[in-house]
Amino acid sequence: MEENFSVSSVYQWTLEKDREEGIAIGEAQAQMLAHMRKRVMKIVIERFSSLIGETNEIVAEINDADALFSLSVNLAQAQSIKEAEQILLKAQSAR
Amino acid sequence: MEKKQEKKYDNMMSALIGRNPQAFLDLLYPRSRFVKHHRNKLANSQRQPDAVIEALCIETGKLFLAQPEIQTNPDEEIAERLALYQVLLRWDYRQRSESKVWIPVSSAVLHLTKAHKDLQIPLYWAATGRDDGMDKALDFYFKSVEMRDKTPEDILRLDHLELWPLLPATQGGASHEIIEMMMERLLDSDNVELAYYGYLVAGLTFKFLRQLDEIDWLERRYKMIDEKFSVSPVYQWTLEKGREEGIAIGEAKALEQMRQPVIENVFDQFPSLTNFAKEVVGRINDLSLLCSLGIKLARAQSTEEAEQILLKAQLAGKETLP
Repeated sequence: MEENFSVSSVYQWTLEKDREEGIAIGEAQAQMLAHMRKRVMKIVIERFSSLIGETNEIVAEINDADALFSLSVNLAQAQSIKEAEQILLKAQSAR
Repeated sequence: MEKKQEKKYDNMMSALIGRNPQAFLDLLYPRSRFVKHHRNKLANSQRQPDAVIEALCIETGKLFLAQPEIQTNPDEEIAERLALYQVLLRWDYRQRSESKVWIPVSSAVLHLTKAHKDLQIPLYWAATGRDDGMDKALDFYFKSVEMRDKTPEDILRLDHLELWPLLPATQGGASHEIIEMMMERLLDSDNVELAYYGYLVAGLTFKFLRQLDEIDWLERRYKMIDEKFSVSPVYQWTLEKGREEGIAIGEAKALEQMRQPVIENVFDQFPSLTNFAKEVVGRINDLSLLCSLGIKLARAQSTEEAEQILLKAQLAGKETLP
């Protein structure tokens, strides 16, 4: 709901106070997500190329940088395609 | 992550009235006494008046629902909106009450600046569009109070601190003297929240009166003391909203930066698809879709395959348009 007071200058000054900080946070969060997705894809491309398509689909659905980081660590430690596939399926069901 | 402020009310006006409903009854419904609050989210509707207060009319001893609405700017639809609230409120009350009574409802609009020039009381509905009163469908009466018709003394006389933030909207209230007095009193009380409301109303009034010098003065004063407002939930909601707006802007900026590499890759690998890629990529507003598209395109083995990927993304992208 739009606030009626949005027409007040004071409301606008208050809004602006944390807006810059929000812009920096939004930009950093988006970049971090993109970075983490790339990191996961890089590991899969290098080690489990048959899983690229599946990974791409799964990774696109995860919007949590921590979860993506965790996925990248698990995939980096996976010893086989089967294990990697299990990790991906787990990540998909956890999202 | 900071803990999000609990938002007890859905908008600032509801929160202000909710602090002391009796104050607003005294202002808009003299000789009535607060009984209880009613939920202001109207059943089977997305509509939400600022407040729904059950009150007792002291003269008649009868209960009624007071439905005050605070307007910051002239609104040409206010009368129709109040009529809608009336019907919904009466209907809902009857459905919920055991005795199936139609409770009287009294709507009131409090204009902080001024009423719309075309506002007429009663609101008149003609059944077939004739304006000669021959086929009347409805005459709807409601209270319409302009703060600029009140003097600061009228407000002070009611002796409710919760009405003090309205002082700058009164006749002659948008003065340094009144605003300083109001801020001193409210900042000195346990109700810093009210001081923030007072500044909001002052900002609104100066803007309405187009007093640019006064807005500058108010901004200087505000910036000297805005930290004091940090304990006010309403102030925190506004900060939070500003931050959320900022995050959305930041994400959009990041998205814009990430579009370029995807387009460049298409230009390098499948130059004939560059314009199409620009169009598709430009319409994607979802970071994950964009990343996924970038990877798919990077793996495409032929122009046909890349085109298919772009066509699919075009369809998916349409769903993410704002």
